[in-house]
Amino acid sequence: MPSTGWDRASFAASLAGLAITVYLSVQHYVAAIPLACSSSGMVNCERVLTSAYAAVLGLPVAVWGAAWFAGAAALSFLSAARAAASWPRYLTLGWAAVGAAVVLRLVYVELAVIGSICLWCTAVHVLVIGIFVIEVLAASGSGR
Amino acid sequence: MPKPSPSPRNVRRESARQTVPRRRNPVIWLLPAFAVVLAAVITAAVVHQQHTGAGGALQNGGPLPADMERNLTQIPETVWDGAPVDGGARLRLAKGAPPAQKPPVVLYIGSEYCPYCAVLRWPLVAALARFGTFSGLALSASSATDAFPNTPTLTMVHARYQSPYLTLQTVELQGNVADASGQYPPLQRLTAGQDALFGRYDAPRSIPFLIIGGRYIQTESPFSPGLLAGMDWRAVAASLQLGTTPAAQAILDTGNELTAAICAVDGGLPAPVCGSAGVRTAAQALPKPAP
Repeated sequence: MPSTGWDRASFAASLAGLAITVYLSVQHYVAAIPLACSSSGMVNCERVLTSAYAAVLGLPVAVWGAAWFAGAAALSFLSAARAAASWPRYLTLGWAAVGAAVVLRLVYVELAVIGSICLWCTAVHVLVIGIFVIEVLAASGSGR
Repeated sequence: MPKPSPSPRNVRRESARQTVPRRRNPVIWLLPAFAVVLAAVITAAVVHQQHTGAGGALQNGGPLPADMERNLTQIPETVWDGAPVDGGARLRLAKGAPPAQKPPVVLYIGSEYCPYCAVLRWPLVAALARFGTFSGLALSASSATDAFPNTPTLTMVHARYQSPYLTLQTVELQGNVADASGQYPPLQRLTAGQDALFGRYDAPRSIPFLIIGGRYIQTESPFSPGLLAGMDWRAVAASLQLGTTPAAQAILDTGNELTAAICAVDGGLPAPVCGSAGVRTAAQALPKPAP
């Protein structure tokens, strides 16, 4: 577990995101695993997760998300281990910024193109944005 | 007592404290900037959604929304090719069929209330979209009081279809809402020629009935309507873009089979469609006419 408060929070959020994205990834490949979410109305995980936008380069977005959260967890360790150096902090911030930018794109696609919201995806988006906020605060030196 | 005036040295120190700003890390400005961008993205998405109707409430009998039509009629070839083949051909040969017409005729006969017709329309529309262009398709559902109630589907009652390779004839005999006596309202009537084909190749006149180029016949549901249970129209159409759900795989498998049958009667055109891996595999399972 990372030693600084910001890194501990970032690490915990990364683990939560990793758990959700691994579940969604496994559910994508194993049809026997049910998708615990509404499949009708505005909240419709099935519509979102089986849409044309649910895969990038042949892989489900959930798999890319799991890789991103694994990277975020590793970087939170690196930031804590190299607390004296600024480059791990900015590397982590850059990683978080990429995640936040992708979330902007995914939110737009969900609302504007697919017209449905996936609750699991929303939870993941909140965690990514949370990690981004944490990393900005950490990099700006607030309360370290 | 007069306040002592500051010495010139003190004035310089005070001035220095005022003119040299406290050093702040500028990354903190990322937070309000991100909040503004996020709000702008959500606003733009909601405005776009309201203009295009994406995800809007769909109604039985309503027009096919553009996003659904795109998902249904523009399925990537890689997804078609990756569809599993169940190996059991559902089409059978029309014995004693008259010489094939040019262009070949695809005749579909069904009814809106029929859940088995509901199932067949998905792969039929998806397959025919590889040869031509539909318009006038509308959302529909099987009867709410029959087996597999409210199976989501499309109705062909106002459909038009243009293709350089084939002619499509569709007949929806009855609607999907029964009257007080339990009868479904009549919608369209068979021509004499269609009625003759229907009676000749489907003696009990059961629906759905599909005949392709006078050679291949389908008189059964290609898969169980239960596969579409709980799905709405958009979910079914959207699933075809990845082809990973059981419903999508069944639709794509049947669609490849229907495509192969059309290719067999239209001279193998268009070549990119008829030569694709999924269609060639499906063609091998088609019943072969006796030499």
